[in-house]
Amino acid sequence: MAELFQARVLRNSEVCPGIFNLVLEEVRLAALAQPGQFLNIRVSAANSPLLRRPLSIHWVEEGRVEILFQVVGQGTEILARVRTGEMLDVQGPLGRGFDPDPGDRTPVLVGGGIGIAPLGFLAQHLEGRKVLALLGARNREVLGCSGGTRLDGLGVAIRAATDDGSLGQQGLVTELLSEVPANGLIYACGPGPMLRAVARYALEKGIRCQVSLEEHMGCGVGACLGCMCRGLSAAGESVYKRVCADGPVFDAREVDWR
Amino acid sequence: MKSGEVNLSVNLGGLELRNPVTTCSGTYGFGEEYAPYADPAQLGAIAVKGLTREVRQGNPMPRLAETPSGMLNSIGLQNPGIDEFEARYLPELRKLDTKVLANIAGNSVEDYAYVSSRLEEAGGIAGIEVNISCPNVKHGGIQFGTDPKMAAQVTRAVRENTMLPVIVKLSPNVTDITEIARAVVDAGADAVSLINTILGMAIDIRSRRPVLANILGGLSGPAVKPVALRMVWQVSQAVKVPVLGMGGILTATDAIEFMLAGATAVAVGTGNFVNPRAPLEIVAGIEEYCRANGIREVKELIGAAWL
Repeated sequence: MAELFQARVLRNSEVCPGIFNLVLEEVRLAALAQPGQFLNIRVSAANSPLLRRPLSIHWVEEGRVEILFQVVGQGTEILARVRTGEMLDVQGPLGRGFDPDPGDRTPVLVGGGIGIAPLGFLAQHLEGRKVLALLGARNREVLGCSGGTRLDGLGVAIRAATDDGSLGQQGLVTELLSEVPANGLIYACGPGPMLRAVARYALEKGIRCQVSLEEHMGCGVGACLGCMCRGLSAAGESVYKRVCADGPVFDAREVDWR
Repeated sequence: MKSGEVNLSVNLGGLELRNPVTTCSGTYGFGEEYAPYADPAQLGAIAVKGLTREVRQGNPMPRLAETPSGMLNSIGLQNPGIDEFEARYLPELRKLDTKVLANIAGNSVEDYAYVSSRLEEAGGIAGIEVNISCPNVKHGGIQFGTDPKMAAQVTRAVRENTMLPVIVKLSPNVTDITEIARAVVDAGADAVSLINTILGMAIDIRSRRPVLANILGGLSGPAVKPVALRMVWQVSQAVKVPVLGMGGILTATDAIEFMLAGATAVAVGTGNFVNPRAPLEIVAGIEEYCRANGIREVKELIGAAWL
């Protein structure tokens, strides 16, 4: 169950150009959070920007909740200026996260760019298992600071693809998908085209796959119907689903990829 | 009542509300979504998502655009239809210790009549808010809200099909809102609510296209407050029925302004997205304001700014 918190900022640091690691001290939020869920953060007490910003949970440790965010607009620009000791109005944890129990399947994390971030928290829950991660980013630095370094620290086996070839092979992360074992369970987060390619591959090969979708949100709790994605009903019809409340994590089979 | 206590109750066209704070249709889902933050039992009423006779998928995405101190939406009345509403949502709503306002919309006068009679029979609804002002659907909606004759026809159809209090939700997208207000009151409305969203749009300079798939959308949030306040001021003095005021209310100060302008009760809409506890904080803030100003009955605020 989500709540409203006044969370103390323990640290907010630029881990590489344009990407920030925001660390909140909030024991109860840390206890409630599940991998794949998000926080809805009010970035300004003034009325502009008006809406909260939904940001995925990157890491949870000892009563601290960490976010990794990329500065992309007015909201994240303001959030980038938040300093240690300030209090942030945080709503969460929200949404349906990953099903973190892969059973006897081999968990495979597939992340692109800042989409790697929520896979960190998931990997914490998978600790002790053999986990494979296929990660893609612009370059080595972005891949590492978007969560790659943390996954590496947990002992996750990483295969990388970068735009400039500075880490792993040059190209897209989707070119690494053949490394997913037949008994794998894919957990994917990243840009839309990446998710679509990953889901299509998984569906074609009969591999289980969960995807974390992203959308601009109004309320973040399922009330306003502003952040819809095309899903499939039980009967196979194309229907709108709420990214914030029915997701953000969906089984690839629940999404209409057409 | 003990000394120092403030009587917050108001009567909105036959609806006895324990306090004047309610929520706007379309921003509060079916009551479950905000339950973790604000106990409905502490609110005067809640209005649930606009209902139609049939299931509606709503408009294509994108449906939202954030704007300065506001937002545009073009949801397009996505809703499960009256059958599923009765089967799935109404039983849960009946359990809430608050007044539930059903908001209804339709393609035709008959649709409004049908949904009203269904709600009347179903029970568990305290009042019907008639949406004749949705800017985001091609048929019905705003076209009923901009023509006084059509607005009256819809109101009459609802009136004839229910004993429940009928609140007609007015569009601000008209030259003279008092004309429509008079028409619906003459046709039997017990109260009017205003404003619905103001028609607007946003353009993306990178794609050089409108942001919303529907091109036009409804503006809400603090940006619309002065317009809403003006219209509440005008309508509340033009008609004899109570006004449910809404449009950019985020704080108790906003709510008190609406009451002073002539609103009998207020509704929080987009404000819920910003602060899910806003309705509760507004109840507390109104009470505090009354106490600080020696006001025993919140009703004394209604229209107190009239000259």
